[in-house]
Amino acid sequence: MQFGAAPDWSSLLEFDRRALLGGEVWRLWTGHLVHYSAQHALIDLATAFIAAIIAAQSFGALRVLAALALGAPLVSLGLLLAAPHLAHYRGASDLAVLLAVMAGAGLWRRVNGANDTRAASGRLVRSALAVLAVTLAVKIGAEAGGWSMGGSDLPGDVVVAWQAHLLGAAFGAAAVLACARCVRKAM
Amino acid sequence: MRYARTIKTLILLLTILSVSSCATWRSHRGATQAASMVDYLYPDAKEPPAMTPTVVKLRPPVRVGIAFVPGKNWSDNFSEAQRMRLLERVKASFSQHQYIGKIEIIPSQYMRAKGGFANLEQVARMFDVEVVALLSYDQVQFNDANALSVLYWTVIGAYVINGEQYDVQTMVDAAIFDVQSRKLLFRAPGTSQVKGSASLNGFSEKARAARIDGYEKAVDQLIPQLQGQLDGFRERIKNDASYQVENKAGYKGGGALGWISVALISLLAALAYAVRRRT
Repeated sequence: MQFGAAPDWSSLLEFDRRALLGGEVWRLWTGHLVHYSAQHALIDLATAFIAAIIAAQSFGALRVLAALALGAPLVSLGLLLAAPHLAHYRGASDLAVLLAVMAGAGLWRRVNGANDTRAASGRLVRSALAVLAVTLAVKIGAEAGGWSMGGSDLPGDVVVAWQAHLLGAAFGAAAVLACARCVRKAM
Repeated sequence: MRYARTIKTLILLLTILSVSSCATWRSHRGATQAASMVDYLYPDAKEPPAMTPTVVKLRPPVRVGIAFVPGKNWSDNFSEAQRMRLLERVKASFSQHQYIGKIEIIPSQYMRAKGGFANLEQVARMFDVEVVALLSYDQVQFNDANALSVLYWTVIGAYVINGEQYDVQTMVDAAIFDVQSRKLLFRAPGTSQVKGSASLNGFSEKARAARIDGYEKAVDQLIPQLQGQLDGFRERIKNDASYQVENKAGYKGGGALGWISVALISLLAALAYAVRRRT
């Protein structure tokens, strides 16, 4: 993991629009592994790790890893297209959002599919998941409007790339649909 | 006998007239086209401008305007479309850099002769640019007749003999100014020499094409020089306290979640624990 203390390595691995268009394709993946500060990395990676464990309980570790391996370059390609002014990008928050969407959808399915008499508690969990989903949507909307909650210790000239979060959420939803189809076929 | 002498005299007179008229058909003086940066930016300056130490703030991606300095006699030989084509080539050389945002080509109509920085600021505001690349030029055309021009007396020789020579020497200079601080950031020159010959009849057309070719070739030489100066400038400002570089919002992005996400993921983990216990 590279932080601000090792600028050469970070520069070599970050999402760099010009370098990417020049053929440095590894940045499609590695741009999500480098961060601007230790705090930035800690929050992103801890969130992604917890979300990955929860998602793996519903979809399996292999599917979660496959979603990450495919989602990382797709989000980077999406940034190339959707954020033309974004020249540099670092962070794993988009993958954390992708995993969180998978984790939330997995929990929703598990509660929905449970054949038990504790329907009230199931409704409570689904309500909480809905609140979480709305909060995530509001958060991304606020970031798009220029509002940032802070806490990631970003340098002054770096803004939160809300497009990455939106793309992460979209690819997370796509991964859930793809996994659901796989499960149905297997059955 | 007397009749023959009259005819001889007439032929001689006709020959002298023809040869002398050839000489008066065209001037051998040449032509000059020039647009001076100093004349444009400091018109009627009697005293040197005061130098006040300022910090130049550059905020990439920088918005750049490109324009020719207004000059004399330019429109006689060079159309606006041709000028635009030259500016497009300079624009293309700038656009490959990620720290340069939009690039606007400023048409000549917006540039006022001897307009000074006041005109430059007006234009920069109008086109929403922070930095302007001003192209000045100086082109001199020398005309000479070579030995073959003696054959013009045959009249047809004026159409088929390349007895006229031209030598077009051009210099185009690009100076990049920060509009707000009025500071020259860097500059790069490009020069060219185009030589050729033409018949008396086709001289004007060929010389005009040579003048245009002279600008094209000078710009060909200017572009790599400009790239080199731009790279040098980027390195220079890293250690120069009079320059301050601040990225514009959106230039660098971070996928940052913040404290609220820690709260959200904690709640998700609690829900996962609850679901795990009930199933």
